Amino acid sequence: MKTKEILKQSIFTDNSICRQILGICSALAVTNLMMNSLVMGLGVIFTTALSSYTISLIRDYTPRSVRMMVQTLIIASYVIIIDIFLKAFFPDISRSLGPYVGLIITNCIVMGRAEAFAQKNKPFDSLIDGVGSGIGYMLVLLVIAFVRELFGFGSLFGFKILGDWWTPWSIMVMAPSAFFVLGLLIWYINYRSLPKQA
Amino acid sequence: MEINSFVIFIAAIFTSNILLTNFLGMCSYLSISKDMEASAGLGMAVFFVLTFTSGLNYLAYHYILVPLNLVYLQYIIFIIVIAAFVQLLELVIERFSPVLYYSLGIFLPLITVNCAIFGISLFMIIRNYTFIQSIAFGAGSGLGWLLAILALAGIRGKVREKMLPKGMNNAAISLIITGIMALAFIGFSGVVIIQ
Amino acid sequence: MDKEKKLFSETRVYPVVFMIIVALLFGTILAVFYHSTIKRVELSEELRFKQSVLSLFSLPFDDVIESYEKHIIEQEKDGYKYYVAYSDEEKIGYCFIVHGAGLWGSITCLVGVDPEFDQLIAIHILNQSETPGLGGRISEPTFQEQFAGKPIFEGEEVINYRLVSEKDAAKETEINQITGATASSKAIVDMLTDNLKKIIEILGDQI
Repeated sequence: MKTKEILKQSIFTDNSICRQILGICSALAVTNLMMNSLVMGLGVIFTTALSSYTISLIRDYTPRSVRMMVQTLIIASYVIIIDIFLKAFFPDISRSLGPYVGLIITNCIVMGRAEAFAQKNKPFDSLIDGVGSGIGYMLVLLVIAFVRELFGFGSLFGFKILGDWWTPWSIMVMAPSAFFVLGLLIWYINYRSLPKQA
Repeated sequence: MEINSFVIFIAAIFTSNILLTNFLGMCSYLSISKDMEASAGLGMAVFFVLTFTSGLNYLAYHYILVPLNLVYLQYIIFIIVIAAFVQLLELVIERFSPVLYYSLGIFLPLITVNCAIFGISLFMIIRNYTFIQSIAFGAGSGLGWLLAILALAGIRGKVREKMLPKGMNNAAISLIITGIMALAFIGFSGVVIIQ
Repeated sequence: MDKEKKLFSETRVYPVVFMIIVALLFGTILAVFYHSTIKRVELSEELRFKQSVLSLFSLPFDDVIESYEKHIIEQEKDGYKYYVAYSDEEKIGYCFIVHGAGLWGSITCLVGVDPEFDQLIAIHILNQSETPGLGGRISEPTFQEQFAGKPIFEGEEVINYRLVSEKDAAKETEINQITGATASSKAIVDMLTDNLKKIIEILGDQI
């Protein structure tokens, strides 16, 4: 498959969150602030791309019986690298994301792409698929975070957008709003892709 | 740390429900909740695994990782402990209750990557719980997850496809229902009072 | 994928060997990465702590290490460590690390007290794991700032600030809680009372 096709599919047509319904946990947890969503998105892109690439590299040598364990080990290693990197160079963000960085390991997207794509395709294609899946994930996260941060804090990326006249909607900061915004988003995307009826 | 373990247990079910407040364990929650029986089975399995792995991971962390100065490997060790325990559980279930084994099918290996299980172990380390507190936390979170998935399965059983607006698929309506449940659970937040 | 399998790869030993090799490889990479950054992480933790102590007393922290060395003295009594702040040879206050139980986990906080032990200079929450967006808002400046200048004693007893709604004006003995986060707000207030009582007991007549 051509690179452009792979990208288009993984970012849009087969979007990890909205179409495949994967990676929901973190999509709800970190989207109260755009900065957190951005960092999380980058983390997932990094992890999915590199682990898909590595897993694809050794797919011919990996015995079937230990396949899941090897995948988990590789994914976990990349996530640990990200975690250490954040702790060393961006400690505030590391503290803000907390345990959700470690949770990238159990993010169904990373494991899902490894199983569904990397096991059966060439390393470079797997890398691109990983990047695309990650980008698709990040875009959805940013959309949700945009709504939640703007109405919940009146800011975007920490910069105050709405003035003091705005009474923040507390619900946007709390859990239920994430469910609602994501649910409505998935509904909208699904609705748009329905075949037009006469 | 002086928080009563029983309080942690109750709070984990209601006021800080692992799924409705901390968003963990969504993937299998969304896909399995179509079927009431499967949900009950999976929920029980999650409860069981959570209670035990919280304790196991606590021991692994404090008696292996910390003394050997390998704390940065905690993610790998926790996942391995969880995977091994689930594998063991699978063998035990297959041996003693083939019926349960067949109905759970693919879900057991799915539990291994269930973010809820892994997440609880991570949380418990960050919050510095003692051994008893960790177990209480794991058990309570498991029950909370079971409660949430049963509730959603029950509601989804009543929703007929004709009722839904055009384009709303399973995932979307499940999320919205879950959001309403999460709102309701916020009402519990006055229940827990720390002395 | 099956075309070029060597005979060795079909033995039962192969998966084990494979796992061990992969585990060692990645383990080594991680160990190297970890050890090359650990100093940096520790340094940044130390800087963060010292900067928090300095900012408690509004001392400058352009050069954290130098400023800390110049202004803060670490003291100990009966195994309890605390910090004394000086500015131009004059004692401007004490700093204590206090712990308390939040709704979710332990809370660690720096408390600055004036030299006469009459009022709080400021508090600074270092660590907490309360519910983000709700109890987690205790880390916001607006909540913590209200403790500056609050009296420590109410009559003869260490005060336990009463909580009032976020919208009301708070009297000297009151604290505006965070809406929807009574437990976390109360946790902070109780933590201060309990710890200050203990500190006064330990330090006795040194203050």
